[in-house]
Amino acid sequence: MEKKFSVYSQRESFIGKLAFKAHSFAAQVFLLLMTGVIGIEVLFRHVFGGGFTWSQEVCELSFFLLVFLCQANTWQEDRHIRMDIFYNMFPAEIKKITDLLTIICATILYGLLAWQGLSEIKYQVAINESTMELQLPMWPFSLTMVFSCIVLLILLLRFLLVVWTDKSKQGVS
Amino acid sequence: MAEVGGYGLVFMMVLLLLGVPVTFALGSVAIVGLSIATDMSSVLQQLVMVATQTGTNFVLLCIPLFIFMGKMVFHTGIASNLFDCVEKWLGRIHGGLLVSSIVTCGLFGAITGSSSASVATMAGILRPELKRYKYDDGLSAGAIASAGTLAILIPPSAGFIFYGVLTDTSVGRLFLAGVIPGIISMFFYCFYCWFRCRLNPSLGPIGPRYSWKERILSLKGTWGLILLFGTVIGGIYGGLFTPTEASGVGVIGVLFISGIQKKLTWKATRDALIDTGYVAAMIYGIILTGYLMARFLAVTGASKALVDLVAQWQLTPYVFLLVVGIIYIILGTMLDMFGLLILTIPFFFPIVHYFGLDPVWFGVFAVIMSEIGLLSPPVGVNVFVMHDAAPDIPMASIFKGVFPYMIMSIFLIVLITIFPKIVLWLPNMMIN
Repeated sequence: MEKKFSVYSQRESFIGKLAFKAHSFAAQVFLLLMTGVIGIEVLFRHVFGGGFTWSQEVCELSFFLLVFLCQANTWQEDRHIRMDIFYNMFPAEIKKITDLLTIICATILYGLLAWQGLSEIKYQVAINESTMELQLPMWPFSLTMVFSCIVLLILLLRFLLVVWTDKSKQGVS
Repeated sequence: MAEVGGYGLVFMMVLLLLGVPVTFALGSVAIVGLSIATDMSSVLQQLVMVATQTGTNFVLLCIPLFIFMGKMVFHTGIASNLFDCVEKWLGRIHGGLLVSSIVTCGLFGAITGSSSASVATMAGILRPELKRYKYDDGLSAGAIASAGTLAILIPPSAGFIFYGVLTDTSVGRLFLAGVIPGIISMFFYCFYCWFRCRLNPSLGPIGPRYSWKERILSLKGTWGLILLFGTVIGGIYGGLFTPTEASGVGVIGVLFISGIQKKLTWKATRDALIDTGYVAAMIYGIILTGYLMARFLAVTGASKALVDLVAQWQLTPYVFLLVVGIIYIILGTMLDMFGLLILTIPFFFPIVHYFGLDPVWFGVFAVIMSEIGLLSPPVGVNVFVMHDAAPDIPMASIFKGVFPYMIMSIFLIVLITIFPKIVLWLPNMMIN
């Protein structure tokens, strides 16, 4: 089947590729990891008479990493739900306004998440905050969240500055 | 303070109508609104706290796993034996192939929570057969696109998990609550196809005759999917594992069966994994911002104002449900199931409590209404998936084909409203 890229796709750029690679890595590693850990937990509980206390934590942390590492690429590929029936009918000028509003709204959400995430990291490092079961330090997870938000913010900004002003650079196929 | 909530809602609707993604519109309005109603530092702390809590929600992670399971069944094509078997048993009645395809979709729904995966899989398998026996295009495309919606009523259902997480309702009870309405829907759809083809046999001829030996032998090809269904659903209700564990076991089962049938390839697995990544990120985004929106409505008093307004109007529960139904039908023309649920549940749920309606019952009501949205033009996700699989059938014919099924779903809504026990009997009987 012919591969279609969304109008927001910036796969030709470094940051667009990075977003896709992060998505691809997270989906292939963490979904299989969650499946494997759940399988081992169920097997050990029912066959060997006892499960592991850490299995749920591993799945939860994997899910956290998965959903954040996929955020930027999901926007880039226009896979977030939206009422695009009106958008598709709008003239180019209104579409630009919508795109601008999308960027502002996403910046408020992900920008503040990244901002607060950064200050949380300082705090987590200072008090050596760790997970309940495996005692893993929390800051790498917060750092992944901040990293993913920043990748998305750069994609949004790049779309605003480069792609939005030059239609020929849009990844429409 | 409720005015802040009111303005926020109006602004959110404007953003949504302009085409801003639901996640971004809900999130930004909730954050700005909460910062006006409270203070910025507490909003920032809440934001990270909700993001972390939602991102580490053990129940929520079964949505991507069930969807991955459905996508693997689609990419590896292991469901084709299921149709062969059903067709050998039911193919000899009027419109037999269509009846078989609806029953197969229902059974397929029992191993995946994804409606579009169900339509994509079944359309790929059934379309050549329906064409070979000269079935009417509109009728057959409509039947497959509509029967795909059975996947979100028959457990495991992504819609019920989503609603359960959002409203803190038992996913196990919701799964059981969907079984009888799902079977009734399947019966309605089959009866409609049979009746149309009986009145006008040219729409769908009677299929070939098979001996009892052939029928019994056809059961052999379905062992894998029957085992999968038995393990997932039997495991949940037999107390062997939670719905989340069942989703992981289901994925292992699909990998195992497709491996044995030599249909497992790395490309199929990789495509399914990457596709699932999109769904996981999208669902996480809307649940995160849905929680923020619910907090915004609570803090500004908008939820209470809404309930007070309903109380002031002295609406009866039936009138409330009628209004809700109309809103779902309108929004369903523009949004898919997850978007529809996230935009409506934070507003309707406090009113559901006010009227004393059972949250499990309302969950089934909301999911059936969202199911109608999957079929209604111009968005109708299932119709687009069907059109992708059968591009020779015009979109208008498919939309025309699904219309009777939408009416049947509305009839089902009326039925469960008059007789709520259709929904509540099974969960009440099995889970005290």
